[in-house]
Amino acid sequence: MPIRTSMLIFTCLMVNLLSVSAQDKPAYKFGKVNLADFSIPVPAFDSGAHAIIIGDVGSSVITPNNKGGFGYEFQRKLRMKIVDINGVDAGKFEIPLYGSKTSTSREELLSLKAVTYNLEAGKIVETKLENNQVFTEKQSDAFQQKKFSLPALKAGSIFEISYIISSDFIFDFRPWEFQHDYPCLWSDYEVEIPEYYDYVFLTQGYQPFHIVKSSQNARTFMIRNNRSAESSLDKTFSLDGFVTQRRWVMKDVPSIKEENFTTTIENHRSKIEFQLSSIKYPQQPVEMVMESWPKVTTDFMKSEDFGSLLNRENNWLDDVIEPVVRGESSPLAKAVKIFNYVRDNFTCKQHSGKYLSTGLKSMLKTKSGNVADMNLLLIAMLKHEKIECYPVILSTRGHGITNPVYPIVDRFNYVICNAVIGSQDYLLDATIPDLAFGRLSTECYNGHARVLTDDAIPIMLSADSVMEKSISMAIVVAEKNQLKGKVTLSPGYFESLDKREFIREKGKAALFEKIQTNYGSDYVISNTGIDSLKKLNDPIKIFYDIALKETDEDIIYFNPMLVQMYKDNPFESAIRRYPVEIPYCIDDTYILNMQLPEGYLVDELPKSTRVKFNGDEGSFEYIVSVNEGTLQLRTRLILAKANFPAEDYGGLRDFFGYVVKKQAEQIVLKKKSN
Amino acid sequence: MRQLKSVLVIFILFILPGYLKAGEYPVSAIPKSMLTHANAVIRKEEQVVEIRSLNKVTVRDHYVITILNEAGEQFAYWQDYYSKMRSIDHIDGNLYDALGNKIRSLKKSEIQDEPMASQVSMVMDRRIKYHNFNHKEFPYTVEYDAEVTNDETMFLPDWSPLPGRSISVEKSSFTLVADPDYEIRTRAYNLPKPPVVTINGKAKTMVWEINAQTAIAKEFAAPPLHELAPYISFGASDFKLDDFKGSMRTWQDFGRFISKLNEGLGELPEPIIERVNQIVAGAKTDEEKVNRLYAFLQQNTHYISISLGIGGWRPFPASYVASKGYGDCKALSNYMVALLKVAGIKAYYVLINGGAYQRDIPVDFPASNFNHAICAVPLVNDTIWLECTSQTTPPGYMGSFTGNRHALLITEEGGKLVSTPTYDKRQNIQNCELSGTVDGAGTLNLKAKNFYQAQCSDQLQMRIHAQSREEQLIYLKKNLDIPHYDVVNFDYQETVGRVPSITENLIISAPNYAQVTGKRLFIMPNILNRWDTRLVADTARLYPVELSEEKVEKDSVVLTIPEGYITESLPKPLDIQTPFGQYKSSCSVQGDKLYFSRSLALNKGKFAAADYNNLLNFYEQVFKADRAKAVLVKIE
Repeated sequence: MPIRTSMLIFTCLMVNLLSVSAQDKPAYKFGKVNLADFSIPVPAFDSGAHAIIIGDVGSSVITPNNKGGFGYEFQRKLRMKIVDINGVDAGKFEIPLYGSKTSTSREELLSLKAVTYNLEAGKIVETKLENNQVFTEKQSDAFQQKKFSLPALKAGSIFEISYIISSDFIFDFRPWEFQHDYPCLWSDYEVEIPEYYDYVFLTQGYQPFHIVKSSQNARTFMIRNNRSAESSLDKTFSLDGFVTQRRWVMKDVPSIKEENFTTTIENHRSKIEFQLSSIKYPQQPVEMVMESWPKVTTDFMKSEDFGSLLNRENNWLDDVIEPVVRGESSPLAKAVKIFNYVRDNFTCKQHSGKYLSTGLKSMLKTKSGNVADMNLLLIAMLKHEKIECYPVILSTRGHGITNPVYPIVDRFNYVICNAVIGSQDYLLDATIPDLAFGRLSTECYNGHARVLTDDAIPIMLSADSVMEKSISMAIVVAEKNQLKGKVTLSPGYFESLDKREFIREKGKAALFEKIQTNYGSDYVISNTGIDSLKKLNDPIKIFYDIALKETDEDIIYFNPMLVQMYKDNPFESAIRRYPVEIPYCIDDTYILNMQLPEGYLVDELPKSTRVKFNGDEGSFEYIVSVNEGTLQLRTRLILAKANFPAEDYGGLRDFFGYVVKKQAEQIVLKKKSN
Repeated sequence: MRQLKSVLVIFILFILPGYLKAGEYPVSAIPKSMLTHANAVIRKEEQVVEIRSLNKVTVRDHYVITILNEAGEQFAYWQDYYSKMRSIDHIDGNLYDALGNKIRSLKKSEIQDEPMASQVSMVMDRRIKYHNFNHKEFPYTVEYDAEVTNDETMFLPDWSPLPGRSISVEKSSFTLVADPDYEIRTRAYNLPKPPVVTINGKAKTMVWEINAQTAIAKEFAAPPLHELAPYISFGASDFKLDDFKGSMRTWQDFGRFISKLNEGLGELPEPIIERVNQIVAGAKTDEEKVNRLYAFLQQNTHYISISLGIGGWRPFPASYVASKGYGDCKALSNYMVALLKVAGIKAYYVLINGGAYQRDIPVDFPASNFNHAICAVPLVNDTIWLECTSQTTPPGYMGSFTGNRHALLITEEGGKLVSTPTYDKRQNIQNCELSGTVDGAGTLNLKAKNFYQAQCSDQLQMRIHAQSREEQLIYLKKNLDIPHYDVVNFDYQETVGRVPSITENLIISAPNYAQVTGKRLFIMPNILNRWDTRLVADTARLYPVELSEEKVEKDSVVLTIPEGYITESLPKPLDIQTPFGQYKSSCSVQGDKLYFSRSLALNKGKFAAADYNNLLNFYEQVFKADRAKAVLVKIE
């Protein structure tokens, strides 16, 4: 059992001891709506809500199905109140139901009921959802959605829905979300699990539990198999055992919404999930479901959908590889050639997927596949050339974090390659057109990942470990009444990646048009150029000449930030309830070296300053000086971390507020009086 | 038999290799002129539409497209939809390399089949089939050959041989086969040649063809594609939709058909009739009755689209809306007409082509070019227009989604083309009055009274009704164009009516709004309303410029400046008169007050391509003037 859960039980017991009379049921009875229920106010902790979840009560009970084994029955009873007309969207439902392409296992929706209650002239009027208003939309062979919308819904309505889903998928035991788009006054989930199944409970989020309880009871299970009715054997038998009931309740949970700098809101929502760890039927050995990490490697490498081809001779690759590596002898040079070949000759159709979709052999024909197809082909080709390499499984930032302790394979959605050449480790991803050998995109820096060696080594790909370093330089000279100069931009690797993609799709000219448009008509850029565009290992370098409009004003006001950094504060919201997750650490430098125009003196300079944020986690300096007709400015912004806890948000926002203010400051030049 | 086989093998062995070397569509065969502005080239396309009966139209489309670069990938696919009234009969495809050699063919298992994704529709029986070779070595060529059958004739396919901008066409033809007695109306744009017509017994064949059509470049505010490139719109005469027969020769005929579709769908249940009678009891005028019933509709229904089979074109009955409280634009408009009928007020169901600044339908070419339904109530003096899918639009107001255009009124005598209300510079007004103080530390304390009318208020109106007060505050705290500020207080006052308006009152505090550098204070007096469109310079503009927005903005700002400062520099006054609009700004200091005023009028219209750089210049001057700063110096 995870330590986290037992800790929580402990704390909650304490709470219960302190307040014996703590409410342990929702404050209403499902199916009975009273006049008073219509006057429930919008909760103070989420006062802008358009709808309120009055109560969301669910249970999942593992019980024999009629296929000779166990399934589970999930029941949900939900009551909501619509606050204003914008809240009627809360009355639209889509219930996904899964099937299986390979077995008879499936999910079924039973006894769906939905009723809207309206207060009309002091009386409660009920409107029921009619069966013909429940629509089925088939998404694929193994997945359909039931769709419906509550009838007679308007501002002030209360509605209730209840349904049961019977499911054969005990491997995907139903999770529960306590936190939604609308505030929730009472969220209550109970599970009943027979002793044969051992699940790991995974909780996340920042809201406290109001109740955590568990108890044990004896049960007799009748196992039957309707499907084999023709068989002469009696397929029904009974089984005595214990069940454990567990219940989790949260009260007064605020809604959750995604802000800037969030990997995915799903990492932060309060919820509980279940992973089947082992099965132990009476008189049978324990069957491990959630295996050890080494077993995960074995399963992946044996799987037809993953690595079964990787440890073979793969002679079908001979003719493909021969022209690619022709003339190369060193393993590194070969590896680079192979990597470039895969990257440049195949299209990644889907940047998500840990299993093959097209298959390695057929991909040679189709020239496209998902991320697993491409990076496993890369591995097969490297192995063919006797280069040591392993698949690495991970989850991209947008897909949520993986659990470093439990080998929960579902959480992974991406495959890259770890090549070991000489004594050097390289992480390779051939699915992104401009990504160089040994580089990863920001999406992969999402913490824990696993290298599928025999003992499945954990590695950390932390955003805190990636530094995006950029340097911009401007040299300005004065020619009579005109300022002219040269600007060189050396963006960081990730920005270079974005720019390369932009140029590939729209062309270089479009990039410089954009730069010119941003400067406006006071500045004209010319002699533009880009270096290292094809040297994918390096960041690009952008350079151009710049000419400022001619002037003979007595006073010149001049913003020395010829390369704009932060015009607005990227942290817009006033408050934040969950951590800030920036994709990388930042180190931005801007240097200006400017000859003052003849006949002018500096009348006013911005003050040089240095500020720090949270000790050494962030710093900003703005150093300006004038010496013998030459102005020098150097600004540098450093964020030494990428992930910040919610408590740091206010400080981070003020820090960037200061940077924005400082970068807007002007220099004043005045004509010398003769 | 055995001999025949070996002949075949020999044939394959000897003929095929030769064929592979010289493919049919080598990229080298594309004429140079076809590459200008092009990311893809249609090598050839043949579309054949056969009207077999009023319930059966087959459409065959065979096309070969060379994709020149990554930006051309958007044309490298095949996609179509099917439903109860449309089937996809077959689809084939091939992929060729740059030399024109076939790489591979489409496999059925590669075709994706999904429900049609739609943001507005909850349930739809349309599904999409989609295929893409996802090839990556440019250039390459794809070929598709597909056939679909429509079970209706209300919507005849149009011919737009250029599927978008930045694609050229070497050769494209459109063949229409129908009974010689069946009348088909055509409206052709930019076609050099009339069709070749042949009549063969019971089949009349018309063939249009274009050759060597260069690509249309992408440009800012350019006219729609079909005005720049060849395009034909087809209108049926007699047609069938499901079991309903109609004619589209005139607007009147088409309206008659719609009215037949809607027949018998206006019955309301007894409790609703009673309710209507209660609601209108005591109302003094018909207008008051309309307003009350529209409010009833807005409070008790909302938009949900369920579009199955003919339900895509025929409203759900009024009784359905009465019991469920929801429906789509057709169902809700039909319901509104029914409610008004109970109150003894004649109202009409209206078809319209909705969309912000949408171009008007061709008034002299009746066709089914509508995507939305509304309700019109003619009263003695004027007509009240009602948008029935909105819970917040004031009665009588159409806004930018349905205003300024023609619509089809469905009456007992058939369809009548009418105009919805016009909103121009007289109505689309934005007036902002700002007053505040700036202190020596650069902090601005500001009071703003912003008045928005007609189309200038559309977005604000939708936003404030979609947000709770808390969300409005969060929005305001995020979205003003000031680097650092706090919203101290705010409110909105709405005036509903045929020309609605909103007054926004804001109190803002902005530390560091004015930059302090030593003894100087830099203040941008235009605080809340700055023009932010900048155009990319273009010396070779090809197409005319079309501007669709029309409004007048007036801003006045009075700021109290700190004591002990004198003016060093002020934004220069500007007064520009252009065909696109006028701009005027001025700034002055009198005593301890800094005054700034600004007016901007935007004209709509079509302007010559050569005017583009003047437009750029106009925008640029406004952009700069809106950001000019006043500089104050502390007296030492």
